[in-house]
Amino acid sequence: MARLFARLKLRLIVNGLRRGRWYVGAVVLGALFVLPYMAAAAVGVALLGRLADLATVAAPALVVAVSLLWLGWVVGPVLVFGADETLDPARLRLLPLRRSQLAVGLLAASAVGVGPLATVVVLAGVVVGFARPGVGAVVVVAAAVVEFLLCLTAARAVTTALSRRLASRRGRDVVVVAGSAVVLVLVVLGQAPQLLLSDASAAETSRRLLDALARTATAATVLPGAWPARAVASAAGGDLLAAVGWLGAAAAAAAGFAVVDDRVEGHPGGAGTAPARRAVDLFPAAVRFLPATVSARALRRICATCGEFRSCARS
Amino acid sequence: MSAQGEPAVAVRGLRKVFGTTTAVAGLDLDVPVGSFFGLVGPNGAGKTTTLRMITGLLRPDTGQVRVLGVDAWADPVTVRRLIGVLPEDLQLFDRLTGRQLLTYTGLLRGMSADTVAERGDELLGVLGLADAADVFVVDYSHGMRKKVALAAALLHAPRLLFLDEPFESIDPVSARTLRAVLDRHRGAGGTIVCSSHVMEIVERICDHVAVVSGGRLVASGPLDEVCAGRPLEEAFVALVGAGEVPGTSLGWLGSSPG
Repeated sequence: MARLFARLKLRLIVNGLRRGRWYVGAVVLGALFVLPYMAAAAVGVALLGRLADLATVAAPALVVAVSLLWLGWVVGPVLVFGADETLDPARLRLLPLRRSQLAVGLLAASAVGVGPLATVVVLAGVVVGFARPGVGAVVVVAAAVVEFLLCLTAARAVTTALSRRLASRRGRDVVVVAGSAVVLVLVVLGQAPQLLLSDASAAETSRRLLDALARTATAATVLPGAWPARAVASAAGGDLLAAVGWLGAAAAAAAGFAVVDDRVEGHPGGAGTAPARRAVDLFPAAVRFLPATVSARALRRICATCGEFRSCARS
Repeated sequence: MSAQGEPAVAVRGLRKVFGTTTAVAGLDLDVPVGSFFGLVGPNGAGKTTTLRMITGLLRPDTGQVRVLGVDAWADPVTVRRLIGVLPEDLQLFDRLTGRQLLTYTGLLRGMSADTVAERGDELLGVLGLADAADVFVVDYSHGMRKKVALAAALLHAPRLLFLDEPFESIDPVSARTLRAVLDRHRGAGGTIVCSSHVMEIVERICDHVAVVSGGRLVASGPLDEVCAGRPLEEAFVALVGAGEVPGTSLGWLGSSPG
């Protein structure tokens, strides 16, 4: 069944290339733009692991980079929802597939494509850069595999949980607003290094950058996507016990996302759509009396959606 | 499967509420084996919601559904194996061709590649889609989408077929073909449940009918019994109540100068 789902995904990708010359051109240009970045990222991560000081540079930089990779997996499918038909379980709802078959099949489908290929390339760079001879190498390879699974399962859980909501006009409106917010945050974060570098000596600049990197890595550790990177850093530093601990936590998180994906309402392999839950309307009462402007409506939608997110998370 | 004498579909106390709106209010329904069963009702009567709950697409708040002797909500996978469904919202893999859509539908249902290819080609030919077999579904007209979805529903030779508004957006020639295909299915012992608000079609093709209004079953039985000698439309209006337009309303219609 997994192979069939993977074949279906591959067929959809290939058929996408038949949509016209402009589409093929866009894909080729996209590949020419993305692939060198991915290759550079893989080489960069490998060199980071081999050359940089592990404690102050390589480990925190790895944690931040891998966390961003994982966040890309979680946020990306939401922002481009509908572009990947195999990730929409609604299209499979009439088929007599057991939950386990669907879970494995959908996971296999998510592993096929340019994004997964790029992720594998980057994670290969992690293995090359951070694997040291001995048992630590096994942990690093295992962590790379778990990171890949964590990316797939988290993306699937989020997409499945939001599929019905994202299919609505209201859901798409929220995605546009959320996407704009993400871009804004990235632009602001992009300015941070310049602020750190302004009017400071080289030594001071270096200290500030390393300090910011360490803080960012510490903050990123709340994300499950960072845990395999912690395992890699621990294994590279010779702390196998900590490495196995992080690895176990990451594997448990991946399993948790798989379970969430399976149990989420409306899963076609389950017993069908659950009774509609009432969304918690967090929209402040005072704002209800504002004129019905577009922005007020957008805010109301965002707040209502936040309530639905919470409702979903509690289920 | 279905025990001797047990209806193809048995619904008891089916209920579904959306917010403050009761879409289906405790519906009981029996569909005899081998019948062509029409589910009719005005817009918003609860036909589609009822069909969605029977076919496992929407969980009822309360009630029990047995399909060919299987509890639809205790064992939805088995029920999906036994039935074919043409839903109202045609969510298909748009970036597959018609032929590929049938191929993957069959393979995901566990059918052999040879059987899928043979049946798929035959269905595409009969439904007038042979020339469009290698065209992407996204480029199909609504009527063509409906026909390829019907082909996907028939591919595994189900004994029970659910069709939600099958003749909507279908041209007269295709409608005739569709009726012939459905007659063939029924002639082979199959049961068909079909929702529609086009009374002429239901009267022409169905032998049993259920009238739903306001989420409740108003009448059900053999077509002759429900009609009681009247045309179905007349019987339907008498059962659900006619929405007459008062003579004094809309007097401004057609009064634009020039």
